[in-house]
Amino acid sequence: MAVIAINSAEFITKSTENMIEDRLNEFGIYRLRYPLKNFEIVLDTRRATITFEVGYDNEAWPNLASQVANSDQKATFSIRLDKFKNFEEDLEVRHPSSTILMSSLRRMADNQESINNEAWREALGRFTFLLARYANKHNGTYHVAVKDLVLWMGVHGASTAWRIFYDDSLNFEHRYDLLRSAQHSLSQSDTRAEREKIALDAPEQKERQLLWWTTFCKYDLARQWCESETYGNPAARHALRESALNYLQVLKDEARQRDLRRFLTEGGTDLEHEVKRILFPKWKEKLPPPSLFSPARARPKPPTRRLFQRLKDRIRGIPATTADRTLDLAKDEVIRRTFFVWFLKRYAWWSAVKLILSDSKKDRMLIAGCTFFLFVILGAGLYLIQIGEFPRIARVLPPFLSAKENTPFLWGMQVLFQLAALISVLAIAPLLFRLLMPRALFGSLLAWCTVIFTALRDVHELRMDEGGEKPWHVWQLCHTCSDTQALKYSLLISLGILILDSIFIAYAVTQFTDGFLSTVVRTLSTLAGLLAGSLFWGLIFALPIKVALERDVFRFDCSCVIPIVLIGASIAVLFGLMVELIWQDQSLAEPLGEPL
Amino acid sequence: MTNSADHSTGKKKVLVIANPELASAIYEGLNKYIIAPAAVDAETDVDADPGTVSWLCRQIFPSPKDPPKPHALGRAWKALWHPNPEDSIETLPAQSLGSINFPMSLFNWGAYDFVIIQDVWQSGNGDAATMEGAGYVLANLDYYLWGNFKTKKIILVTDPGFLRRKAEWISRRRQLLLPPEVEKDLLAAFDSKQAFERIDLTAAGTSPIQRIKELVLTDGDQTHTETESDTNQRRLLQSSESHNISKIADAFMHPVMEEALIALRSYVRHHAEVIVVDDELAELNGTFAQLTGERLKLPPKMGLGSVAVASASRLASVSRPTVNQANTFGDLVKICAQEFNDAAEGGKRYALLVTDILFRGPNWHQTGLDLIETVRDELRAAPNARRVGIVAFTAFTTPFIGMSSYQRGADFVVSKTELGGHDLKMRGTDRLMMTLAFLCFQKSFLSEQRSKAGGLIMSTNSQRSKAKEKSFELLRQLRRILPKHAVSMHLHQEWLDTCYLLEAINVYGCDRDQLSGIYNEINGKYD
Repeated sequence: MAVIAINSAEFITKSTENMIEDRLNEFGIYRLRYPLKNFEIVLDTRRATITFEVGYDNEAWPNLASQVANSDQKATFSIRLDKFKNFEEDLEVRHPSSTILMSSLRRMADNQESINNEAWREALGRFTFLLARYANKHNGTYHVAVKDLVLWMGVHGASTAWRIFYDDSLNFEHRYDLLRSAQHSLSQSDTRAEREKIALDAPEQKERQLLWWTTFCKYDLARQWCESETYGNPAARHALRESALNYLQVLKDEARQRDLRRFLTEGGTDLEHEVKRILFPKWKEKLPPPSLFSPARARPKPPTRRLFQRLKDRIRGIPATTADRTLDLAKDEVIRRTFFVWFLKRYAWWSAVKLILSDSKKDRMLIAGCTFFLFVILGAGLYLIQIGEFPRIARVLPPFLSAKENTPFLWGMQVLFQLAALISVLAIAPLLFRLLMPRALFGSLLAWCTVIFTALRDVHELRMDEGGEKPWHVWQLCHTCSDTQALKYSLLISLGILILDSIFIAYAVTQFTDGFLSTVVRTLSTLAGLLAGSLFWGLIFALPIKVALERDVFRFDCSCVIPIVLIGASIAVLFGLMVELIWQDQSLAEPLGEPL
Repeated sequence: MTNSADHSTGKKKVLVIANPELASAIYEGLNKYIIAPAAVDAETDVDADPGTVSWLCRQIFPSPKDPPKPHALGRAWKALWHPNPEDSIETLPAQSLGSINFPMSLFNWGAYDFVIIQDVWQSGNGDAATMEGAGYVLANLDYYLWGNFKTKKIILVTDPGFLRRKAEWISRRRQLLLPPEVEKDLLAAFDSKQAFERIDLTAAGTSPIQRIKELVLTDGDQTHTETESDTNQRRLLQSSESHNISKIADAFMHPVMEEALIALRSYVRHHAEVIVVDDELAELNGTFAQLTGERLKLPPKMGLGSVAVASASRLASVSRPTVNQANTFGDLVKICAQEFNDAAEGGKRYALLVTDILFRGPNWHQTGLDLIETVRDELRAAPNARRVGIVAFTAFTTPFIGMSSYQRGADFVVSKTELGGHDLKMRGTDRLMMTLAFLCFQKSFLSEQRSKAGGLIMSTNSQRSKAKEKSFELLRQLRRILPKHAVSMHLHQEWLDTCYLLEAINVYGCDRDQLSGIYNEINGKYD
């Protein structure tokens, strides 16, 4: 009766030959047929496109197949591999093509056969790489598809080792070990290629991107490893530190920064975000993706806190986010020094301050900061008393603080307070002194001292309508109008100058920053900082300038001081900017010399 | 003229176990859509006729033949040139230890998307020959015992009236009342969750090949609408007649299981020495007989508070093996250690300890759990620790005993009592035998994958280009046949390390220095 039969060897041999057949015709078009599903993938090597074709009698995808009228038609979806514009446009917009893509990916991953054809392997590898980055941006539907696809394709050497990141069947240690060696070999080949091709300036973008992506995956893997270790694992911590430093180095030292920025943006992140993710990690704060068991709407809302409590938490939160229990990179002197400048160069003030405050001497910095502002407020108060803006307050003040008789004394005290502010910072926290003295602040001081003071004589001599009947001096102009008018005109002129200032600053800011909103915010905050610095000097120099200009008594007796402070400060900023912009390779915000 | 370079893919892996004409017809009919298993020369079995249940079971649970022993001159030559073979990866085991070279092996069914098996097979010869529903039983074992849920089982029904006729025959012999819908009830007994597909080869209408093709096309996800017969089926099973159905199912399964157990016994004996520990002599004897096919020479009586240890390793040297008795826990551990040492010298690759959990007697404060823990602790420093498997064999079915056993070092926990809900009711010793076979398979399979990986690392320059491909296929095979969740908890690390070795070949490629380091480390750890 029955005898077992596996199959005839002849049949199998024939079948296997068909499978591994590797013919490239003259047109350079490859077809990958899924006969079970009446589904094809077409690779056009000349145009570097991959096309998914769903046939009309496809029983697995009736919805798609129903869109096809007859057997001659197919629902298709093409992806450009070389001229890939952006993920959203190429993958998502063209509905129902995205449905075809998702279904196709599922079909491809659910395949027991591996691809042996080199052209297919290359093309699908590139496509998977694109998709993996996109999935990183939209951590949802595509993530599962990418994982399945990557596991199906497997690893074939160092350039595809990043796929190990998705392989849960290996433990963290093994995966990290393999990724590290792969990255090492990639970086070696990259350096070699760089050396060989530097003369031609022919960068291998693909190799670089693979190196970046592998480094990115390695860091994320190490981080996941650390998070999974409940009681801490020295190996995991070491891996995290090593991978983080490695990643930071790539982010900081990559010669092709624009390329790197574009690469990261396509993956839904950016350079600064990545650096901040490493330096200020927020452990265990990442919300899990919504699932059936934890729907987003079911999450409890955090209790409403009072402003004071929020501020308190925020101040306490600084060490909690920076002085992480696992990775103390932000406390490392070299890292701090390097990335403090790095942040300032990008005008990321808050990140720079956060990094500095992660230091153990942050208490002294806070004291120094408070002392500085206290002295500045005292100085500003004396200035306000001198100009007599608040007569009610002047009335209750003791006689020796009266502005009319004691202006030299008050001015002297004001200058002393302001200088004391600087001295206190220098004495308590020299580090903070360096932070408060960026290049542009010195530039504005330079402008006040050199440009404005030296121009006083000429301004005093400057006469208008000299050939006319009544020639008049420019410095007398503010005497012809009221204080309010003087303030209005001064503000108008200052505004024009400030707009010019902001153009210069924006020019500097956009060198390292993308995005309209962040550019605007950083430009305005920088301008505000510079203007505050310039006003600091302006408060000191207002009275001497007024005296030198009018050759009058040493007292605030007219409204000349308003344009002097406002316009002078704006002009000082402008001059400072122009001076600083001469140093092309330096940012306006950068400190002079070693910052920390 | 073709204008493209075509390449077919996405085919399903299908195994057909049927008579040659039927199998060939199915393979040829589905040629475009499936990948057939690689052809391996079926071993000629002189003890069984091809096509019988016995022959089928030996193919399903195959035992590799022992390699021919090298002659004295060859051994001397080898000893001269390879004085310390363990230090080098050049000396890789040549013989396949696992059963993955046998495409029909039940352990490998996980590698397929579909297994198509004929329903009826002949058992015995001459006048004693009977027809048995081996296809149903084996499909049931794979799904409900091994837990291979992924592979779809399709049963080729060659005789639609077989189940009823067989049931009538059994009921006459055992004087059981035959339920009216006995065929459906039996089907429900073998496949209570309706996981199998049945293709009636004699049915009119659509051809069987077309129906199989439809199944393959839809991944076996055919819409199953509830019919009136389904409702009846559930109602009948809840009635008092279900007892009769259970008896008939047992009788239905028994001849096939007997043959399967013979094959499994051979498989386990080929791979491992088994040491059994029990405080009940009768149970010990029964277990030992089931595992080895031999009876123990029992002492006239056993002292109160003694625990007996029997080892299959003494079978070869003694005509009728005896038992060792221990009165204290310390003695028990020493006896077990001695038995392990004897087993290691016996030449088998693995030593498996089967132990009861609770020991009777006022002096016994320790239990089988302590024995498991102590053995694991002692073995931790031993060089052959990874070649030891421990199975807890107990009548206790509480989850706490199971959990405690696993945590202290048991690979598996098997119940002594007859169990069967969704799966078939099966004796505890039968389950034990299958568990031991599965444990042997897991260990030998992992070892074989590492051995193959070593072969790839040592491949010559001309072969290196394909080493990555082979490694990738090996890794895929490993994950399909032995998924992580199916591996014993105490083999998890070994499984992970094996995956790592194969993945390292994929990453490092031909960098032999790095790979050799990894291979030697893992090899030294497990092999």
